[in-house]
Amino acid sequence: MLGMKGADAHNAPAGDAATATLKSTNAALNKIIEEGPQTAPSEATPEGEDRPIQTAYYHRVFRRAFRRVYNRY
Amino acid sequence: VLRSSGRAVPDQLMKGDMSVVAEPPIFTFVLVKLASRCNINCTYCYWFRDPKVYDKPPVLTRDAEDAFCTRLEQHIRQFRLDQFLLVFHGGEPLLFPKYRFVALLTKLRDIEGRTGCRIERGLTTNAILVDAEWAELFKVHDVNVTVSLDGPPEINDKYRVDFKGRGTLAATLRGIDCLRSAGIDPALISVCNPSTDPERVLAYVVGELGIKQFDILPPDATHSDNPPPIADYFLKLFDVWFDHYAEQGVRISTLDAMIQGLTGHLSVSDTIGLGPIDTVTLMPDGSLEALDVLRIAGAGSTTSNLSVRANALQDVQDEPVWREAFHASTHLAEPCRRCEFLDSCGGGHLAQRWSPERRFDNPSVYCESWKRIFAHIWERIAPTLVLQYAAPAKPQRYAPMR
Repeated sequence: MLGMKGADAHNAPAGDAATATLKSTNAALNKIIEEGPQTAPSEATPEGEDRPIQTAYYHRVFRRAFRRVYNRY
Repeated sequence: VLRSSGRAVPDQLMKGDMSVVAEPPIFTFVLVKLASRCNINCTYCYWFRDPKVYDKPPVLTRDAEDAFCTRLEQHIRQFRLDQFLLVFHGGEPLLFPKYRFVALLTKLRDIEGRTGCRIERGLTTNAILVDAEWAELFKVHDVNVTVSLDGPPEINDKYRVDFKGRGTLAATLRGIDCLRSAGIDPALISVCNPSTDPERVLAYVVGELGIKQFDILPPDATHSDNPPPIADYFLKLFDVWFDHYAEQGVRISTLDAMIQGLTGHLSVSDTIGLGPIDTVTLMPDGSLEALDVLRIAGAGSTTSNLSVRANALQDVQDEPVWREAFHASTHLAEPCRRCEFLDSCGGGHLAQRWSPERRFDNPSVYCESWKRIFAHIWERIAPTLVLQYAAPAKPQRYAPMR
């Protein structure tokens, strides 16, 4: 189950090379899903890059105060 | 495990042991407390639950401001940052004098010019003090404004009151009008009261105020507070939004975060989602603290010995309270690690995990509510989800979770 612990995508076709994109048939939901940060924290800094790359999705942004910088609609 | 992105998820993340992010990041965000006082007296405010805030100067001192700007520039140069975020906050940040606000923003512009780093600026206000001059300042200096407002008069004015117990909505609306007159479209943030009707809030915010992007947050509470459940409120909020407002382009950030978490994305919300908390707070006296909401744990609970006068910004990573918060945000309580909603929930808001006995080693005080809410949202959205594969394959529909 996506986004849930221990989830397995049993419906995925065989083979390691498969790349899947999740969509919703509901346009509003699909827009939210497509805007979702898709990179895991461990992938935030490219290898061999000495400049600290601070990516938005690394952080849990302090949305309580402000949420439009990293998530401008 | 295959996520929607098609990438494998690190095992540590799936087990709730986020060692992949165990090292503190280079800070790119500071919450700047321009004022320690407020001009109103909201019944649920976390800030004044810590009486130590009254020991702080009413507004950011001049020498703290100068020292902070120096430290900020050093930090940007040291780590060669090209983007930084400052959020001006309080108390009520507009208690900070206008002429000093202009001077501060001018210094920030100068830092941008010298370093090439873009310093984004946001501000959260109750808008009561917003006038044409403030609105013009925000516009000229490109400050993104978020207004706190809880809904229609019968809801807002019950909780967001002045020091005589009078409702504040009318004054807030005058401030919003000033902002709009200057061409500023403010964001809006609300705190829910579970005994009220979210449908009424949506109808007011969208229908009467014409605001389509906003957030509705659960009340700040710890395990010492025994707060009422929020499940029924958020279930109805989601249903009303999904059935009547989503197709109009209405967006509610907490719902966005929950949907994104359930569909396999990282959630970038401090309210809900799995990820580290690394907020740094500049206090009006120049001290540097952890996430300010953690002060609901009690008097002096976020007090630190660090100050911009003596310390670099990055020194905060070794400050004990900040360190504990960061560690707790990436190491969840045992029930959370076993939970099917681990990825989407991440233990909820860090402050809401607090108890005097176990500190942050708890699920959210709203855990049972969150579980009901996540299950309900999944049940509603799952029938609409399809996976599309890069390799030739027919989209396959997901069955509702059970």
